[in-house]
Amino acid sequence: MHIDARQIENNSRIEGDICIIGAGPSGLSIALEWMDTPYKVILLEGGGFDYDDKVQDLFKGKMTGHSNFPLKSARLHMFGGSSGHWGGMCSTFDPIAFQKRDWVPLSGWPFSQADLMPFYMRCQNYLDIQDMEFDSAVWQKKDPSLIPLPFTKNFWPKVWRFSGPTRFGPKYKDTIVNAKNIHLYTYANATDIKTNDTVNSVSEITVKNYAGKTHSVVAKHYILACCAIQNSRLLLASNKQAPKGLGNDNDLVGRHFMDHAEIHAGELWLNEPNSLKYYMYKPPRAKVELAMKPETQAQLQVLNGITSLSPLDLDKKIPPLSKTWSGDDPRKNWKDVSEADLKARGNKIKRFFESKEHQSFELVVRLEQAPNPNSRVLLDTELDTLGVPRAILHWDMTEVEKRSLRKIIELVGKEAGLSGFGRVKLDKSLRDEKNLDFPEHTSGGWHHMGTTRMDNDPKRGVTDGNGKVHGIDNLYTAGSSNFTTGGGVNPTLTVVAVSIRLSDHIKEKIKG
Amino acid sequence: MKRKKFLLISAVAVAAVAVPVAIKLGNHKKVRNRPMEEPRILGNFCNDEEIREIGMDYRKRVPEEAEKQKLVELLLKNDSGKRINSTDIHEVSDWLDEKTDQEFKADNTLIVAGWVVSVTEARQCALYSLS
Repeated sequence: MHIDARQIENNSRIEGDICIIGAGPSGLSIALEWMDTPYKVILLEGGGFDYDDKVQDLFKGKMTGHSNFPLKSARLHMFGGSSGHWGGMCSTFDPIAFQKRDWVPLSGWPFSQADLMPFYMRCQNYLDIQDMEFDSAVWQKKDPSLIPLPFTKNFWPKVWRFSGPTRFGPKYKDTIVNAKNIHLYTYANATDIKTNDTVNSVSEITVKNYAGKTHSVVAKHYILACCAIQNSRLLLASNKQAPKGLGNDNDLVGRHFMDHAEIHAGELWLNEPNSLKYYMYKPPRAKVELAMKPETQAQLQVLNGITSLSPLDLDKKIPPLSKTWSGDDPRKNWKDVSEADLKARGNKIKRFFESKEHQSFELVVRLEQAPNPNSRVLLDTELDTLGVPRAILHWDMTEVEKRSLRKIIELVGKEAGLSGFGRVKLDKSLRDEKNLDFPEHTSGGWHHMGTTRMDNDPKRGVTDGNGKVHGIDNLYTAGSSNFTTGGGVNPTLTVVAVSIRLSDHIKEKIKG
Repeated sequence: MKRKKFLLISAVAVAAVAVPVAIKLGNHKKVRNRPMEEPRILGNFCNDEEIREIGMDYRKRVPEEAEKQKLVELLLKNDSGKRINSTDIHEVSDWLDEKTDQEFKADNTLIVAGWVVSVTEARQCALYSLS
């Protein structure tokens, strides 16, 4: 069932069993899990089915620290959420990403990769992934022309699988609208979370829209699935009963913001031209990237980082994403990025005739960021049009990220020499090991994470091992805000897996 | 007329196949006339200026080796002190390649002018930069 919250009577009271706030990949996968159950699900989406700039403007915010994509355009505020501009790359977080690592402060998820694996498998249908085969050797058997680089001392070939990419909006609109027990409210922006007097249970959510309507939503369980910036923003802004914000007794909400720094960090030059076919993006077949072995990470005390390769001559023609994705309008940014890419690659005819073999490849590292309390989301004094303080993002990276980045490229260089395959040249910004600045072309990965991090210890995490906010019985956060650490791969697959896991947990809880 | 056209097309076709093959084979058989100052693998993709830049950076980092005779001595000796006495360019070339391989195995590498190279390669470049 679909209800436009602009069209119903002002001050409506909406009641259900479960209230999910946000209809992106996380919120929608949870809603789909609850379809055809005896429970009434209230699904709140701040936007509509189509892009609306007035709604998108609610995401606008300031940024300090390292440059990242503008907050207004980095995520999509509409039904389907940021799956609307997702690239579709899917890979599992490595086992080491979940482990406690002495050299990474606050590392260690409350569960292991093995615990999450059954939930990863359940993502396949939601994300339309052809298969969940992440073993490089299996792909090589299927197609012997897929040959990984012989860089085996410190690296292993990390497999990517691809989603269409699934646009959750168009794909699940009819399913959700026709589901009898799911009540989707569009133009229903959560602006405040109210609790009981002892601030240990949510009593209602206030929703507003630019049509001037205000409604209240009452449910047994509430799940914030609005993305890492907005989850923490809403908790911090819900400060009428808890002056520091909800779930923020230990001053952790909004802290430990992480993204993947994506950096063109060096060049691999080969003795002989090679297509490096296995490393090239050609869905639906698998592609691999260079992933650092866990024992190497431990030995060198570095963060995880995955290195992709792209032909250098092509890469030099494509302007950095920090330049093309620089405006507030996500539609224009998307167009600019696509046009720049097409201009560099040329049309299909040109691509068909040009050589697939290259002597040099750009090494692009997607770097894990260590949890860092100074990297954070804060509230601005400026309010959005619905009266909620806007977000300020301070993205902070430290010495360990820079050292890890340099070490990764240096190791690729050593392996290139060891195998006699070629040589590696580091980007200028990495040559002086005392230089802790990141190159100007460093961008984020649109992978906002960590602002309501999971940890069973309330002094280390906003949420427990399931995603329940510490100290509040019926409030949960879902999505990448819950990530304890960020791994080295794109987060969408893990976002959906962790959300399904949370959904199962609440199902058990509501039964009991 | 037809015969002439056929011959012309044939010649173009042969050239289209033969020229790239010849270039490729030519690359394989690249002979180094001065192996002491021409690192084999770097020579595949670095131009003179880049080799010189690597060499200058190495001399700056290791000033005690910034002299021709010293570099030659070090290049002709291996880590265990064994020295090659041959002046045959093929033998010297193989000796330096072997030293380079061994240094990558022993992790005896460094970053000069941004390149991850073996010490021998860096010294070869340094020698080149002095020539």
